Amino acid sequence: MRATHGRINQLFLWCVVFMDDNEDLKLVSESRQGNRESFERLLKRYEKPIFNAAYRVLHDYEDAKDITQNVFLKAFENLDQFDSKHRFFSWIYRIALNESINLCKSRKPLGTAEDTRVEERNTPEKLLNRRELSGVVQAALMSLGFEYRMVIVLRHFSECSYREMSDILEIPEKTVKSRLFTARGLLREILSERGIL
Amino acid sequence: MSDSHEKYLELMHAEMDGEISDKELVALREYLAFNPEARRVHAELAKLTGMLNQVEQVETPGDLHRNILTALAPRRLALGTVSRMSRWHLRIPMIHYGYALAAGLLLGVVLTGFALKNLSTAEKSDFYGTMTAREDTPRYLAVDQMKLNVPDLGGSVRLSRSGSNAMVAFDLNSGQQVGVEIGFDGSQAGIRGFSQQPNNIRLFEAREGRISFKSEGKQLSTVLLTNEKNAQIILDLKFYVAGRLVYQGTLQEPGAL
Repeated sequence: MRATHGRINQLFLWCVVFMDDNEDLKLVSESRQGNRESFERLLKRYEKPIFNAAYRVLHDYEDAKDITQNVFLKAFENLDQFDSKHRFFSWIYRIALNESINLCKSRKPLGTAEDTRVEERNTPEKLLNRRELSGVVQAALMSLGFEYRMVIVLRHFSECSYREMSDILEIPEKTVKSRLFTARGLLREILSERGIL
Repeated sequence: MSDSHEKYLELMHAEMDGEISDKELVALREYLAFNPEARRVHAELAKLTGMLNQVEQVETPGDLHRNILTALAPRRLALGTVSRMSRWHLRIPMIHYGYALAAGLLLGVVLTGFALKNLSTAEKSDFYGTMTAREDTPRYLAVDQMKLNVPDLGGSVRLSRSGSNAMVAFDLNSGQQVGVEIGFDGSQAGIRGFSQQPNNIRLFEAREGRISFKSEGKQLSTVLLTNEKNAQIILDLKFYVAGRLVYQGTLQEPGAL
């Protein structure tokens, strides 16, 4: 029964996604013709998800802001290179991913979770504050390697399917799954060590 | 761990991700019913995914949307800018240029003094204005470059290498003052020199891994970095006009030398 509900939900989601994709393609096409209002609608639709993904990957508010700005400027400059066989959503996420990788390369290794380490007395029950929980999860996330962090962010914070992740990361779905499972395993270990899980 | 357990572990993840079929779900339920260890793992995984799904969204900065649109907007205006500026120039009486020049010189003296005050003695003697721009250029091999062709800013930046030294040559042209920021790995490289032609340094700051300076009009600015470890140099460059980021890019060597 639950699975049937899940399938109906997925079908509904697919319809929404399909409509969104068509709308995106229309907006891209209009933006290519120089219609800035259309590009602004794309910006409105995706600036928050892109900013959030960049923030969760980099854990730096200013960097996430810079990345988001660059992503949209690059997208605008390179609209002609966008292949409408792909989803705009995947394309723009891929730009964000590449920007984040470049930024990480140009910086010292990002700080580990040491500074935000949670003491053992914290239990899930005590973590009533959602912001505190977000901080704990973010700290654990920063202990992961970039490729594992990326799949967690795409799956849980950007709510991408395996297929979408495969498209964004340009890796087979099978690799997406195995990377995601490993990432969760590592996160589970980190959070268990800290007495959170 | 058995292959069978691995298979069900995969199904557990698929269930959490909403990518499980009815048939697989039935099989997983049956497996969990008879396997306490699997139920423990399942519960832990559910708790983890629950925690991840509860992570709150971060609000986007209030000025982000406007900044992006502002950075896009001048493209359309670019063609009109020249004629507007020309008219503006014609309307200003010559005497105003005199006042502006005097004020500019005074500001230059004050700002240069301010810049010097901000630098330690060692920094000053090491690099501040001691280098003649591009005097060694023939010895340097260009490894990367970028062209700047955005509203209010044109020119190019070239990264060259000679032994353990790297030279970043900015050939900028703008009707306004341009703020330039160079970010790099401070543990791999340090600054050796800085110069500008015409030599009207207004503001120059250097910290570990970050250099910033101002460029005005048509100006050549040269930054000399030393990289004793011969690591690959990657520079993150940002250009600001009137406090607004107008261009950002990366210059880097193809690989470690």
